[in-house]
Amino acid sequence: MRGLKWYQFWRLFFIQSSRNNRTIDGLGFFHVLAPMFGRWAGDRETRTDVALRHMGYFNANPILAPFIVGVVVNLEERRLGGEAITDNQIGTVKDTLSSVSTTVGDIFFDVVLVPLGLTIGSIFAIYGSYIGLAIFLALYNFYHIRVRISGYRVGLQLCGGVGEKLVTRLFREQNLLGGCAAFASGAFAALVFSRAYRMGGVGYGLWGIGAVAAIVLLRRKLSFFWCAVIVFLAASLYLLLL
Amino acid sequence: MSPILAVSLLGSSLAVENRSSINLLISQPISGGFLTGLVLGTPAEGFFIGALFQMMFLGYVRVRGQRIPDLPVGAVTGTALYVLTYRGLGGDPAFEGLVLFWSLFIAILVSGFGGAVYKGWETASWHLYTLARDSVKQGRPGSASALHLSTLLFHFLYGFLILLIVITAGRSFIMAVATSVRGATTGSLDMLSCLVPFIGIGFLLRLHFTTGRIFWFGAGFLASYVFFIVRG
Repeated sequence: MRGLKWYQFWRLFFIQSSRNNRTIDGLGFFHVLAPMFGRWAGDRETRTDVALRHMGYFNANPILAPFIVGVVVNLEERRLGGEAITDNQIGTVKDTLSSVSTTVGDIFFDVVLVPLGLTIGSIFAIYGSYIGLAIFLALYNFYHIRVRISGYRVGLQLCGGVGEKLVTRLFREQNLLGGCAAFASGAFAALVFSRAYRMGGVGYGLWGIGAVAAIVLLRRKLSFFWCAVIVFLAASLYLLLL
Repeated sequence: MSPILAVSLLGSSLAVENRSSINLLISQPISGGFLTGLVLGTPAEGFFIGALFQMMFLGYVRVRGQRIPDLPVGAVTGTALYVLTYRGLGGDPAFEGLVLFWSLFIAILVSGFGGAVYKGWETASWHLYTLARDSVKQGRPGSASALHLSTLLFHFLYGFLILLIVITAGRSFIMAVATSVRGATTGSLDMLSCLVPFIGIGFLLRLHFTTGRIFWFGAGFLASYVFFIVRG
């Protein structure tokens, strides 16, 4: 695949491994760029400066991070070629793209695509079918792998207009997939309600409505974890007392 | 190889997948449960528990800065506990509900514990970062890279040890509870599989409670409900 630097690309799959709460994925970002430092700086002292410069704060959606890495590599290469690009400019581009990618990537992948795939997987799982699991993994990874590779290539090759097309496409598909995710969630809810009614009558149905309302209300004050614990224990108690 | 050891190795690999940015999402409970079942020779049972655990956290979205429950390790724990304990009790249906309850409950606790551990880890790994930075300053960028990659070992070992300890202890605990409590009194707990998905519906409803999407949620609900009624 033209333009891909494999010796660098594989490192992108481990960018979050050493996450800390101050520089977030700063060390991961450094590790991805590490093979390039020798090329960008001749002597040892300059190499250390370049390395330290790329070791600062980095917080971006991991799937769109290849795009940012590509852009930074592109800028450094152009500077090496004689263009007047300053450290500040590179830093600003990196920070801006990180913020944008975090917003766009987190919404597209974590809020829309993953819940959509998992809901489809769960609907099929109720019928004991593995098809939903296959659909979930195929759907998610179709976007995931494509965005990773194309984002990296776009970053490396274009730089000017910084991936406007990539972001616009994600935005456009986000609306469609968001609607699909909500529809699938509604279908899942109907399936669970009808199954509960069939197996436990009105009591289970009413309990279900109460559980959903409790989760919606509890979630305002409590984390996912505590909401799940409380309602899970309530469900068990309800079944024991029934 | 002992089944607990095999499951621990699988779970720790899934923990690495989850904590690095490989992000293929095979570590999600629905697939983790299936893989655990496959390792234990009962993929259908593993898939059932994994999917049930997944349904509980269906609308769960990872928000930056929030404590993240360690769902992959939790799912493998729950699945392994269910399969191994139920098998150990001779597959007696009277114990199914009890085993299901404890397996899922321990799985939730393991997920919460993992979330807390990783919150602490993200604070502590700052020292690793400063160590790496010092290495770079001393002209040894290779050491900094090695430090970064060494964190994969931490993720692997954490998953491995948690699974090994919790599955071994949890299995004995559930067996002891099951034999001391009459199975018939807890028989209704097997209907948890019917009620647990409501937790996920609550999270999903909250996730899609936006102007653009709530309409589609309602449409999906109504269309599907009518379909189920017509189909009988």
